[in-house]
Amino acid sequence: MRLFNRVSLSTPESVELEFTLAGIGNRTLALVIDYHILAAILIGFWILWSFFTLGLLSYFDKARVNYTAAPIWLLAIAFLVSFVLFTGYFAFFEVVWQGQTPGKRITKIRVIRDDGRPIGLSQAVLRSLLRPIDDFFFIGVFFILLGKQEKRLGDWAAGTLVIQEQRPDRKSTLAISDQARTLAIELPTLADLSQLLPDDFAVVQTYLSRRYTMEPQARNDLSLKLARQLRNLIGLEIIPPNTTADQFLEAVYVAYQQFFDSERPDDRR
Amino acid sequence: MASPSDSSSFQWLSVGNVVSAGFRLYGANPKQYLTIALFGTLWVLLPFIATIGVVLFFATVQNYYAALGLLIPALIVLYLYAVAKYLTNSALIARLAFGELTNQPESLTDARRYVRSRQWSFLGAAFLLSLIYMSVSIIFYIILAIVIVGLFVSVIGVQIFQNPTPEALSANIGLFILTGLLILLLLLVFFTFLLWFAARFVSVEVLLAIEPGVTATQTIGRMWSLTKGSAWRIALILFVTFLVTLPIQLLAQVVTGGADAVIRAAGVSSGSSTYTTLSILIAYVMGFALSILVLPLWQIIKTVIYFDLRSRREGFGLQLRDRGTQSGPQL
Repeated sequence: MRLFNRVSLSTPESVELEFTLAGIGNRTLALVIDYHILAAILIGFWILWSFFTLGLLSYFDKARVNYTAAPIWLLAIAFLVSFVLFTGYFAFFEVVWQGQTPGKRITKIRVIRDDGRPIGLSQAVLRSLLRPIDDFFFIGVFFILLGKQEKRLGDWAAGTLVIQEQRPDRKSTLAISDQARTLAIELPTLADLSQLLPDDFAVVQTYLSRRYTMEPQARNDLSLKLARQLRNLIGLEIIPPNTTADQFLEAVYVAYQQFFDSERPDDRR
Repeated sequence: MASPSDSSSFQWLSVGNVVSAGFRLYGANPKQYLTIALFGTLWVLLPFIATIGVVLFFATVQNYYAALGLLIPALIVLYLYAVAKYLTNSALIARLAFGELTNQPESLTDARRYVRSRQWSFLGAAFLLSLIYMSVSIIFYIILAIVIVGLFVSVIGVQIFQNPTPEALSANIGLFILTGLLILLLLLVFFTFLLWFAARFVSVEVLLAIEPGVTATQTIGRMWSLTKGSAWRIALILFVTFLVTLPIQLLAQVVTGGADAVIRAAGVSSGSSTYTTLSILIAYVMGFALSILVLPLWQIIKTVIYFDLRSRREGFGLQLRDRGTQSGPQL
């Protein structure tokens, strides 16, 4: 089964797009992060504001001004600013970062419009203004959990979706040993690399990029298993002596890349 | 075998995605999981009902006390059996969820047969884990005692323990406040450590329910090595899951409150014993329902954690596709 809800939508240019929805876990985590940042901002504001208030009142005191009405005004302004900070935090970031807040950025999710376009100011503000209602008795959580499109009230009102960002893994350079490089040069003459499919290559690549976080024993077993399977696939008689399974996999990885790089110009003709 | 799914199948799951995937798996088959959770929880109730029965019997009859020598061991055995049953049912949820997760679903009968055969291993693993937790707690309290006594002795000397006069105590009020703060700090450290520790052993019974040929002791060692370097991520997953269950708990509170109001509206005065009995009963039933509702969620989340750990630490799911039909002679 599919682990995540997906949604496909057509843009105004009638292009079909498919997105993975953000999911309750990412959205909760993003909200937790955002609320912590927001709380820090609000606490900072209230501390600064109280210093300002004390300073102002003592100034009035010295200047012998009648300031009985001032404290209530200062308090009212403080509440107003707090509200603006609360609403503005989400609206500001979602507009400036195209649907992301700091929490959403960390959890790699994004708000978009129902038709796939980036959200604008009105959507961001609408979502932000309805947030307190969604938070009240956690109504939003139930909407996200039970709805097919995972929309809270703010999303319904603004016509928005929250999706996972489809950013491919950062292409990190894999560590390739010298021995593997020399083997990779010989490999095309020894074996039939055209038997390899992109899926096989992806498996080898994934293994090579993740091997360092694996348990030593499990890593050994896996690399041996993959090396044996690959050897059979590409019809290699024997793996050259003094080559570890890891080195062989590295060599296949490099050789595959070179093999298909050299083929590509033919396709273009 | 597993269908050739998209390449995202060997992508690591982020904290949020573990939680979302758990909810999705639960939502795909809620009836099955809830039924299992219901029977599991009923098993735990059984020894309590039996104990209440025994107590009531002796309270009314006030005779045959010699039978207690037989009844108490029987109750203990019943209790252990019930816990084993509860753990087995919880493990069954995990095993079924794992089958869904790996696209190799198993029938309920097969899964049940498998976990039943390991019933006593679940109890053994739970027992070992509680021993570990107990020893960790004891070590902590010993450290706490040593730190506090050491502090006092080094600052004031031994006489405060030999002769605790009010004057001597009030003269050292600052030290007491300091000690209080220190205890709070140490408790915080302890709870943080406990959370880390719980994360390291998070999916023990899941592992036991899925991997063939491991004993209860081996499972604990294996879990420890699987969770190496992932403890805080797991702790965060557990925290986020807890947060998402909060609304459900709140809903249960609201329902309990509503039922309370209905009773009062029905004319039962809030001081009467009927009211007390009814409201306690409602609270218990609600708690019971809530634990049935939440048990599958935790089991499934633990299964997803286990699945993700296997793919991180062992490259689980990383395999070349079986192309026997393609590479063989096709003509």
